[in-house]
Amino acid sequence: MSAIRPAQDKEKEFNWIIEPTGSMRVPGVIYATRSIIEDLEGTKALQQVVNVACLPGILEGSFAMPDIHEGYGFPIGGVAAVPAEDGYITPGGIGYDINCGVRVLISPLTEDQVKERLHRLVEALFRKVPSGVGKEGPISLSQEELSRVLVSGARWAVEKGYGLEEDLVHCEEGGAMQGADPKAVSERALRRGRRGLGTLGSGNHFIEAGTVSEIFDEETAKVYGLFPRQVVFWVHSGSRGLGHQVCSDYIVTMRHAVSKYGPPLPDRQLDGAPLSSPEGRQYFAAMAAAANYAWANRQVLTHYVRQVACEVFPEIGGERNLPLLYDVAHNIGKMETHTVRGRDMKVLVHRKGATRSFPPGHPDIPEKYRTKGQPVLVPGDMGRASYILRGTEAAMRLSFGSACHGAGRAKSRAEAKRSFSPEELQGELRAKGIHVRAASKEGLIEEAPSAYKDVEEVVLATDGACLAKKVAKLRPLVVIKG
Amino acid sequence: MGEEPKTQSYEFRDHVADVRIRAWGTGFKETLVAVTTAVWRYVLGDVALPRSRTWGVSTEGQDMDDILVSFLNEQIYLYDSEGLVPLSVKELKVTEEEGAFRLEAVFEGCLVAEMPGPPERQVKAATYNDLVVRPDLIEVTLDV
Repeated sequence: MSAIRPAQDKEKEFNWIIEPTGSMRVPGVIYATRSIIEDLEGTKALQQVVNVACLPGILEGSFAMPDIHEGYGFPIGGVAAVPAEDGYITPGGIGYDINCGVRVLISPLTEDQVKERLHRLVEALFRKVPSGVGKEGPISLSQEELSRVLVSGARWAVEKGYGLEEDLVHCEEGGAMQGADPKAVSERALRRGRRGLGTLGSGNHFIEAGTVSEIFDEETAKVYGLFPRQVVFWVHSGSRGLGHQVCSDYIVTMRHAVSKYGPPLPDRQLDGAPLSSPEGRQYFAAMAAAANYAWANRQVLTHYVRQVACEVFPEIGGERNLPLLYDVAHNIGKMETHTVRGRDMKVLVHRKGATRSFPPGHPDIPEKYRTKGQPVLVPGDMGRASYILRGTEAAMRLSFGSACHGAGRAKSRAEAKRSFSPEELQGELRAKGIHVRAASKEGLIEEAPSAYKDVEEVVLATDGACLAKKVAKLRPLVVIKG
Repeated sequence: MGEEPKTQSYEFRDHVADVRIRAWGTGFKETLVAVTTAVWRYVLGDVALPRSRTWGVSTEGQDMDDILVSFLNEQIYLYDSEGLVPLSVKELKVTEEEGAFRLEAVFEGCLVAEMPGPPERQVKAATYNDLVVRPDLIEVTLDV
């Protein structure tokens, strides 16, 4: 691997380049501050950027967003686009938690109106939302019903009474990707999906109530429905066991396929197949089905959050007064049209721990936001801040319309555990006025704020590189950890 | 684990996003048992559970990397879908025929429903990332 260097152009202060050598087909391009780059030393994240650059058909660059950290196959924060016709699709570029993603609901309330009832809120949310390891939800799906979920995504949930028709307009892809085929999903994956809908899961999944602490772009904030001290709700979850099994199944499929279609890749976790091949087509159909399951899951969770919020704060005046701002996918492969070398081209964009960031005027974003650009939701950590940004035209040129998806981990789970005890962490958060409930103490400590990069640094690079621009900053009030 | 050596023969290594396990033994069989022990210690924590049932698994692959990854993923699948909690490996056999590897194992353990409380953690899958598979040493990254 050649050395990483800053881009020559002074205007590209946040661009770092790894020139192509060996089997790399394109350069590695990392958007980051110097401090983020320095923190990657000793990890395999940059080598993973290089490995991704070897994918057959990869266009323009192997991109990494400012929340880059070591993953498996792709780095987390990795973005790679390939031609839709014959480029490689790889499960390693999408991940196990297919369409892990986040959404934000906005409320008419301010922090002052809710501050005395936050304890009630955290307890009620914790009781209502099945969270934690292996937790099954109250929804049991027949095979037939599950197939409908896999095709219809969030629409299935809305039709069953979990949410509002207008929610669908504010989801990426309308909450259901085209091309999903339940027949491409194994019996095993279906089995894992029957009781998972409406569950939060564990790890970094969460539900949070936060408040708008600062507004940077008043006009856009107004269009997004945001105002100072407003209370909003975040929901972060994915496709649960069904998605994990789809990924595991197709990594095995691709292990067999890769030798048929091209030279070996530097990491088996990157094995894939051309989109035009039977294996590539089948994986895309299964991945889309799992993505739809994730959208249905977040939609059901949204319904639970609305029910609890309206019960604890009846002055909200009904679930319609908690509209969905937007829902974005973090781990996904999307068919999109981008301008490549001067001409429009249909490409598959792998986003592994990255958020789509589409600009003003783009037809794929809701009409309501079209003058300002797509909301880019960036949850930070449970003790500091989160951000809402807006998509940019520059992101279309720089990263196939992508930006960061969060703060990005800085410490391993073991290191986080060594830093302090769950009791110390809860005390520290309580002192900041943050109410936290977690399914397990282990899970809580592993997700401690200090285990993450400072989201300020990540947003500085994201905004500075123009991948997305700052609209509002938020801080947490109530957190439910899976 | 039933065939677990008397001394702990695994360790958890730091990995920023996930967890990496290093396990060792005097041969494939012992090392595979050690890595299995490590995975379930990570998931369950230090908890005493009944050994109320046995069940078998078999996996196939092109090489030992495949065998290791599919062996662990089979356990994760059975845990997640059937609620089978492996506590010890009663039998384990790896065979090779015409370039194809096959592993057969029998586990002893219990059901998730028999556990006194929720497990500590979730493991989504075993990955091929930076996989090291030797008779005396296995290193594997789990997606958590």
